[in-house]
Amino acid sequence: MTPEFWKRVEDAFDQAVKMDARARTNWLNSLAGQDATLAAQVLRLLSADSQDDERLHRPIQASLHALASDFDDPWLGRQLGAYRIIARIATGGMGAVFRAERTDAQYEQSVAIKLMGSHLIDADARARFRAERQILARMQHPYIARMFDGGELEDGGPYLVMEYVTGMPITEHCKARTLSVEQRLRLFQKVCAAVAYAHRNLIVHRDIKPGNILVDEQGDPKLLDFGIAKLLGDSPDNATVTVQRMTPDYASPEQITGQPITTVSDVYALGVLLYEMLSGQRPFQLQGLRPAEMEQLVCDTAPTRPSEAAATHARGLPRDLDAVVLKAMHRDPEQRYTSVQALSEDIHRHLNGLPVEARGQQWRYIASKFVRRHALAAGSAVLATLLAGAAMLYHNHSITSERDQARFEAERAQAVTAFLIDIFKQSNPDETDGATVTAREILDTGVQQLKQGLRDQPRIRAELHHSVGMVYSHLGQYDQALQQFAEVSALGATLNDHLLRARGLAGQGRVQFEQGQLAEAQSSHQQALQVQRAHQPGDSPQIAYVLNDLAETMFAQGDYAHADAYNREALDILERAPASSREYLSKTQHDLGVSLQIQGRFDEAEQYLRLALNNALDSFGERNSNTLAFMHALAAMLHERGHNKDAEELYLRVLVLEKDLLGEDYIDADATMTNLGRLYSDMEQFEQAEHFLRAAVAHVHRVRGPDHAYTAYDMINLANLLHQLERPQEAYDLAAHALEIYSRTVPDDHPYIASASLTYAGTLLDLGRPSLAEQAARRALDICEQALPEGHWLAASARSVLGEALFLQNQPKSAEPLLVEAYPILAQARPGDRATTNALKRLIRYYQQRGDSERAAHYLAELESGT
Amino acid sequence: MPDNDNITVLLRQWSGGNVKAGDTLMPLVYDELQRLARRAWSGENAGHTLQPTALVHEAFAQLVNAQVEWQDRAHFYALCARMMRRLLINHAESRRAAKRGGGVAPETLNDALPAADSAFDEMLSIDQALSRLAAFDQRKADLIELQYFAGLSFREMAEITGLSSSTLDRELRLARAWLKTALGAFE
Repeated sequence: MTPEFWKRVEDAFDQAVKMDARARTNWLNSLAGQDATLAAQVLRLLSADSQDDERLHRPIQASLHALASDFDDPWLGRQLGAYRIIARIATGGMGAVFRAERTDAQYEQSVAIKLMGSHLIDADARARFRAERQILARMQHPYIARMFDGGELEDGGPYLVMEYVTGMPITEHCKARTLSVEQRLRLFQKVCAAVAYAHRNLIVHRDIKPGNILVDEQGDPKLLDFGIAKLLGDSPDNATVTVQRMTPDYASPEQITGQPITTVSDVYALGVLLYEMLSGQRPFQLQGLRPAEMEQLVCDTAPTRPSEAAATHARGLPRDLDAVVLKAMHRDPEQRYTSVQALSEDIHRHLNGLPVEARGQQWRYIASKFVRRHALAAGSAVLATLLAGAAMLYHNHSITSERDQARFEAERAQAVTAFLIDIFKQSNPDETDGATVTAREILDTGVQQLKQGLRDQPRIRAELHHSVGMVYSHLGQYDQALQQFAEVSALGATLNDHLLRARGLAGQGRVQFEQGQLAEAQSSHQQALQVQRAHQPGDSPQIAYVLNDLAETMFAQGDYAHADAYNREALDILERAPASSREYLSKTQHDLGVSLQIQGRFDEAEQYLRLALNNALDSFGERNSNTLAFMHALAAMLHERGHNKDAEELYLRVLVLEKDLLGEDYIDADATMTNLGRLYSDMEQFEQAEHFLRAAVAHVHRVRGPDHAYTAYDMINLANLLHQLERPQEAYDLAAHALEIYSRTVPDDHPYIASASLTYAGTLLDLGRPSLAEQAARRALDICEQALPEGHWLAASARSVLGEALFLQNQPKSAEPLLVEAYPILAQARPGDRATTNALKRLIRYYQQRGDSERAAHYLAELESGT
Repeated sequence: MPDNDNITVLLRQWSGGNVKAGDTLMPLVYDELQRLARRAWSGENAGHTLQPTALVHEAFAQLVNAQVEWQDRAHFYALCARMMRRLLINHAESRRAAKRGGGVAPETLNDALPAADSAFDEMLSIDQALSRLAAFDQRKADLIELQYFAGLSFREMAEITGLSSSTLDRELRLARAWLKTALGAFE
């Protein structure tokens, strides 16, 4: 409200209240004609004027009553230094917290004063306390409550004067505002920023918990009590006091066992905090346990994954977040994130749809997340369709006769049933004192029993270990899974059952692969293979399965030659194997096709991708997610080869099936639409192209929101098309918007920004703004040089645009080498592409305008031969 | 109990423009209002409805020599209004903070809270709205403070502000209307 406007409101209001109702209405109508804002404001005031004043009067009255009826507190009104105590906020075992005000200032400044009982601190500690206080007082961060001052009472009990913070504990805030998972993550990142700041100042919090993190009305967190735990607990005999006083649910194993506390102890507590923020539960309930029990629970038990523990709001919590939380709160400090910064960055990656570090180099996973978005930079969307592995069905060939087999199966069924009944008994409330038992706890109990029971049936025990290993592996609990498979191979060795041993080894290899331990995975698979070859017929499908796993491991390491050799060997076996191994046949064909495509061996690649698809269609039909993935892979391959009609047909089919099978809101449907739009663009069916690219933008906007990197990515694809259609203004608007989204969602040097900047630069050239175009092209080039291999076509494209921008600004000498270098790289890497043609046209224009008709003619001939 | 003459002197100095005198006065008035409020509840006056006006007039009687100039009286009531507002806000905020944990685990909180929560929230909203009003019309905010936090009557207000009753009426009417819109029920 400006004073000027208020003056006009006042005049109008005074005039209006003097009128009768009718005159007032007419007058207001005519006022609305001149100044609608003013009229609306006056109307609101008149309406309020006609209401009674009870709501001004009553709360003041009621508050006065409440004040008067409050009990007397001897601390209230006491003066501590420059502060007077106004109200008691809380009382606890370690002392009390008061709200106080400065008495020597005319403005109101509230502070919180924390009094610590003198019994908690000895003379030595007091000196340290003073020194430490100085350090804490220097910390200044918007999300950290400031420490202003401190002192000592007459009895020696120290007190601290801190910023007074109002707000709700962070977990309650999440609940009260029903924040989305994304909002929770962004809030959590702010907490991380505060803790990271403190760590840079060499201060460890040591007592991070929801009650120490309040969120204000604006939704910003404030961390309280930084370093206070240390002030109180530094001397050795205080160690237990510290733990007891802390909320034990948030204490790290090293804190509980009295080991040294470092910054990664805060990482642990942040992990627990994130766990609770996401799932609504705490990973361990320690309240009321004895120290030894706490130690056992925290140090020996793996917590339930947050997505399993989650309340309804977080159903479907992504596996990524499980991985992030569990890495942060790993019981071994060395396995955690090395810093709060690293934790926060991983969350950043997740928010932007990038693979998280916590899941290691899980190749399939990275491929599935990354590659379909890299179509522009990597020139291929094929890897998108790398498959989820299929569960393996082993047949136990160590049992020779059919009768033996039948008897074994019957015994196994009995043993499994007994095992299941036994472990489910644990979840009977009568036997657990009413505590809820999760599926994972049941499983853990089962494992305990497996260790002891079934001594006389080792083979069945091995089967159970194998099954449990598979379950753990599906749950993402790889350490446990690995133990189970190790048990299987050990039993195999004891029983002299070689194939059992091989199965255990193969299981270990697959888990190691999931963990990103590629060398170990390779070695396990090779051992398994060696055992199989020595003791099994050469055409056993089991050998082929291991070969395909081994190939996958080699492919992930970039060793395409070995990967292909192993897959071909596997195919030799599988092509002659019974129908039960069909799933593996098509997967192996697909894997080989993808590898060949990456190596540019398109004929063969297409052949295998087609085989994979046909086999999948035969065995599973087209309403199957594997079949769908094979279809997408083949479509991308056909597009890359220029078989556009066929690609179109397949893409359209994929689109229909995706909608059918996975629903309208299928989160990655925009990838298919964008790929199809780009295909139409190459086919010069621009109307369709625009239709699908716009549909992709609309879809991603709907399912991922306006602030997502993929939204920007799809916008850039649309911008490229519009630019090509000579609608530079629309293209410019989209590119500018996309860049703005990227600036908030991906790191500054991300390749996405390079290609977006390049689009942006291109539109600026067309809009006659070469100096701005130059800036954008330089930015694109910088990123390309840092993030992409040398000689990448995207960098060449950036050089060409930069050359043109410089030429248009009358710097022909700088422009020429850029233009000349760019073209051959593009012609080699992207023949027939629009970027290539444009680079060539720029060269021609350059030489024409420089009057070098010879060179101009040379390039002109090239252009004509190309079209 | 502070010395009445001394307070009267401070009051005179303050209304004469001595800021430091005001700083000394403020905590005295604050404490006195708090003391009177507690006393009013605890004994003698139990059963009466507790009103700001009663407290403020009693504070005046306790603290100030009745013979003061009218300007000093005006200043005193303005100060009372301000201190009463601060007293109530402080109390409301601390109770609300206590309810929310205020940075300390809830189980350590020491008492059960009465059901005045919504009144506290509304009070704090009034306080915030009043601060917003003051940002563009200090005089109206001051008048509201006198009316509601010192509980002065219309005539008393006219007397100590020196405004004509028609002006005072217009100003208060608009100020109240604006506050009510700011509190949000008339959108």
